[in-house]
Amino acid sequence: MPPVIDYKKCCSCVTYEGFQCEMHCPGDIIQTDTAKKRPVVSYPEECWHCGNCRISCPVGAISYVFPASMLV
Amino acid sequence: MTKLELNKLAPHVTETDVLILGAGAAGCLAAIGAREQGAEVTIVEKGQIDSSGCCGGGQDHFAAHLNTGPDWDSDEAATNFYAGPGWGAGRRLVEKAFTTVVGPMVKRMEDMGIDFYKTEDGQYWRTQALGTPGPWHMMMKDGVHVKRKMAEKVRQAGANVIEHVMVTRLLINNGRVAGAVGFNIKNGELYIFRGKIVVLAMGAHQSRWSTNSTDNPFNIWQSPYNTGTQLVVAYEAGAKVVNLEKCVATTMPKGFGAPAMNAFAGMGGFMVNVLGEKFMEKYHALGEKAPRGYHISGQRQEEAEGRVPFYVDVRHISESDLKHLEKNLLTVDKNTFSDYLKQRGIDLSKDLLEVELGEYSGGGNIWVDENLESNLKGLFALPFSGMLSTAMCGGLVAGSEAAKAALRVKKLPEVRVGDVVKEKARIFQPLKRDTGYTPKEFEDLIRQVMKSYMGYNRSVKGLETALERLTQLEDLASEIRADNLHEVLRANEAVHLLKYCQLMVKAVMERKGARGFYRITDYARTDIELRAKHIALFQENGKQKVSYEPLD
Repeated sequence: MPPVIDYKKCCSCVTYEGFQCEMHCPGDIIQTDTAKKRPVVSYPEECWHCGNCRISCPVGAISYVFPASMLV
Repeated sequence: MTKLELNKLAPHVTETDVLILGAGAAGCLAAIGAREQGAEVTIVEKGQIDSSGCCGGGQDHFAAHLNTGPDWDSDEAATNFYAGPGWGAGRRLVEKAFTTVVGPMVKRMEDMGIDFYKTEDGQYWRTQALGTPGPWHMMMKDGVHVKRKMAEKVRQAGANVIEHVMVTRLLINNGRVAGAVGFNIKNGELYIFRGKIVVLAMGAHQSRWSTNSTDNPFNIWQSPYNTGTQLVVAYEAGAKVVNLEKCVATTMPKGFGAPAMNAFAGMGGFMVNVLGEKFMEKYHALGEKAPRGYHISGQRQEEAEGRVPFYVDVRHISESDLKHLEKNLLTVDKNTFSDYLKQRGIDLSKDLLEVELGEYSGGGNIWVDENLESNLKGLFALPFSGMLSTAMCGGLVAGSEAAKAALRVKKLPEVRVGDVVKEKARIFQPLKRDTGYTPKEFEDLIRQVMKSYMGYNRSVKGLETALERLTQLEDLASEIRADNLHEVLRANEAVHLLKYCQLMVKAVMERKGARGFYRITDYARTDIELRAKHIALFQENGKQKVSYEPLD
């Protein structure tokens, strides 16, 4: 389900408020995993596929994998 | 009530001249317009202003007439195109909030660092689509970052920017607007905003009540994060809400909630049915460049006659035009377009792209006078919108007029503490429940009703039934539960969605005919008397009222 974060690339670009992808998501679907100190896609089914998280990611760690319902 | 006393209720109390609610393209330009008049500005946004709103992830086109000589490129042509029932504004307001503003807006955008593609002879490269009388659609270079550039300008202009706050209610006092209440969706803190003037700019399209073939209400054409909040808060505060019966849809790639027809048609693509026949010219002389409504009615007719499914064909366009279409238009209008094509295994140079009739998108805006002020004193809004150019132009004028009015107001209106206390309890009520409906379960009930009675074919009996069922849901709204702040956000959106749907159904009933891409079997034609009027819904002493306002 979109978007997908590649944690090998994710640099945890935390600003004062939070991670860039989280802050730029207009739907609040990306949130902070406080235990692992990294962003997590908490509500993938509420994604608009707008691309804001990918555009804002400084290291290109985000890709989109569409669910089967969008491809059948 | 002093700021200190209010602070006991909410950790954040903001006082300003002009309070702008919503920071899409309209809100951002409103902030810039208000700052240019010298007013203090606070702008509040549910997301982050660099990426919020319909153009947050990018935008490819900007529609503008440029007065270069031909009739189709004139002020007269623009006003004729936008004024009237279709866009839902009269000539005076179209001239004031768009026609006279869009030319200078192009220059303003270039000053912001938003450049446009030009032809070899140095003219703006413009294409024709969606029924415009000539090629008005300019194409932005680096359209992906258009919103980020607007946001930068808002910050440079000195506006106070408050992000990740959802506004849930307007505060009123002595018959005028006094501010707003909202909460931070990330940490749950309450915000009280006090403003001499309030501008509403929270979006023009509400679609989460309808779905396409994927049945996912978030996988849609327009922003799914707008559930009609500005219309609901304005209505509840006593403002007149109009154009609620407007309803549009678009042709979209199969299963992918994305716009596309503007770019496809502009670059010479055409639609074909299952037999491989081009069919749009049967329904409008402009073919694929016809207004969006004709795309829908044409496909409806082809569907009724069994020639489904439909496809877009761009295999015949030149290699360079195809490259421009894919790289500079489709993937700019929706950043994930190329991912979709790739994952579907479609090569536009060789394959047809299957398309479908997408979900419905409902309309609505606040009725405003010639100064863009609503009947509720101190509340300003855009007279119409629906696309980037109308949002930016209308926003700029609304912000500018709001600032002029704010500078005439000597004293900041008081807010009533009781209203804030009540609203705080209402916002967070879902957190107190362990059982009940999740926001999604509740919204699914709304969608079930809307799908049954507010589709393409509607009847008076069906609309009456829809209103009854939606009223039943009002009782269930108190049973929405939330386990975290994200669900509090969705719960509040769901409550607004229900109220918005109730208003929309009521407005469709009052119109006595269609004003959008649907039909009402009881009315073969729209009531002629009503055609040139706005149907306005508003509240007076807690009771719903309807008035008819001239469309001038």
